[in-house]
Amino acid sequence: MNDKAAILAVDDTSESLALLVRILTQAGYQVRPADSGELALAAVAANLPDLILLDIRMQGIDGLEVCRRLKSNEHTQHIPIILISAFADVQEWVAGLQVGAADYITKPFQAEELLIRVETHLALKRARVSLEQQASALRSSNARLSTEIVERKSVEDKLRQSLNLAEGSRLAMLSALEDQKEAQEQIRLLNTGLEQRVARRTAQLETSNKELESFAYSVSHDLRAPLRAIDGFSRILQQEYADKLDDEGLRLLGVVRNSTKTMDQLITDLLALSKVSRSELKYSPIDMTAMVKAIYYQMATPEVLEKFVFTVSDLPGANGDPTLMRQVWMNLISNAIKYTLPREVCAIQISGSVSTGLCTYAIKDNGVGYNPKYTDNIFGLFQRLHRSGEFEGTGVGLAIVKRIIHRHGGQVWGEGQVGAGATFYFTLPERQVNDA
Amino acid sequence: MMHNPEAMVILLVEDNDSDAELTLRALKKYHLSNKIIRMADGQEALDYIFQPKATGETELRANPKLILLDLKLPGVSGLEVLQAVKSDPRTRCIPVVVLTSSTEEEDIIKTYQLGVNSFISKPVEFDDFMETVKNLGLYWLLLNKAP
Repeated sequence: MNDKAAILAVDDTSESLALLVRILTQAGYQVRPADSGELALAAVAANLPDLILLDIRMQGIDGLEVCRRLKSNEHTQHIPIILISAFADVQEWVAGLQVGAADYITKPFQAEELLIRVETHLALKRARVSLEQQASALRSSNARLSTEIVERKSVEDKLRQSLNLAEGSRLAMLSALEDQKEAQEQIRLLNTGLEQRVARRTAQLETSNKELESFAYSVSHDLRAPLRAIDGFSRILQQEYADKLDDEGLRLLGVVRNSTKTMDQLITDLLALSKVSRSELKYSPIDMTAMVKAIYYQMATPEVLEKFVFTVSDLPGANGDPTLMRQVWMNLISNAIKYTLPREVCAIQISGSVSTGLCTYAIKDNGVGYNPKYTDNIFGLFQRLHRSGEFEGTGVGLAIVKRIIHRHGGQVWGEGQVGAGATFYFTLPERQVNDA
Repeated sequence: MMHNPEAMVILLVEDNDSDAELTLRALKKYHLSNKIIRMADGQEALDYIFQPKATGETELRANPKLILLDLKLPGVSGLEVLQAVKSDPRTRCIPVVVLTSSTEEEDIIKTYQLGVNSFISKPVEFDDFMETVKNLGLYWLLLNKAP
């Protein structure tokens, strides 16, 4: 037997109740007696019994009513109820089953029969409780599992999110790598394109340089041939047919020959200018003082030597192309002589100085000067500030000077006033010690 | 081979008629030669000096005392004529004076490399031209005796 099962015995007949109590007590149950329906309900409310033996026919609340009430209360509905009846009445029995009673026993009953029925229902109840406990345990473990599943799902979701993030970063990195690769490829392509463009441009420049050279050659050769014929045959006319021409005819022939001379000079100067641009600079140290003096005394006619006061201060040495530098001085000195010769007293003064890596050279004359308004024009090609009758020249000399000085990395400029002489300056980068 | 050993034949190779006429006048004026032969292009000049034979060899037809050679000629250029004359042992000693209006350094260097005897540029001014022709003619015909 289990721990003493608590049994509520309900009967309004005292002998019957006493009998029940005696039998059950003897069988080892803990028995609580109740002699009315009201008392039975109160007892159940106070303390739940394991089983109720309930007499049907009682004064007040009868057994069926007690049974109905207990079965309709969720706290008490599971208590097994065995109805006790004085008669074997099938209808009563059915009514009892209908209100939820577990069993039915008729008076007078055998003690053994009662005990077997009581024990059976107690066992049933224990089994039910055990089942319920198991079910409850299952339910709770079910609930735990559900929670766990939910938690796992949430963890899985988080993992998946992390994975997605990781995948996203991976893709982003890949795409960044791709971008970088593409950028590098573009840079490479651009570089290649640039190299090709530079090569093309260089080839074009070389071609146009060649064309320029052949143009210069044609100019020197082809333009001169007809000029030679014009001058030559005019000269033959002058010499061999002079007696057939009057003075005016001879004068006109002179004009023809002078014009050919001018045109020849123009061609010569143009060729010199193009040569300055084309020829490669051959640098060597130059004693400018000696060069200037040599050029002056080569160029000066006896008239010039007599009229001019020519002074040269010590000039800084230069590093440059001697042929071209000689041309610079020739052009500047011949200009100075040409534009100063009309004066009563003529002076040319050449000086130089060094400052902050630059050598500056100056040639000053007291000649006819020029209008400072045109100071920018005088270095332009074919720019002349005087009428051609006044001074000879083609307007190329200073353009050549400018090109030569620029090719040497220097600057050239002039200062002048009408009637007050002119000064021309040019600079050259100072000669380095190791250049000498 | 030579028709008259005393004749001082000058060969003028010049395509420009005006230049040729002026040169001839100058040479005649100073009585530098009694026989001047003018050829108008390089091929003509080569055919005149080296007459082609059926064997493929050439026969020397003329042996001028002086060749005045313009550089810029149509077809066979003056430089090619110069090279042909100076590379043949039979004609190597004929003085060749290159006459040109070009003053390009490259031309001057090339002609000297090919063995030119003198190089003069044709000045535009007629008087200078006459003077030049006179001087070079005198020099090469009278003073410079070819070995």
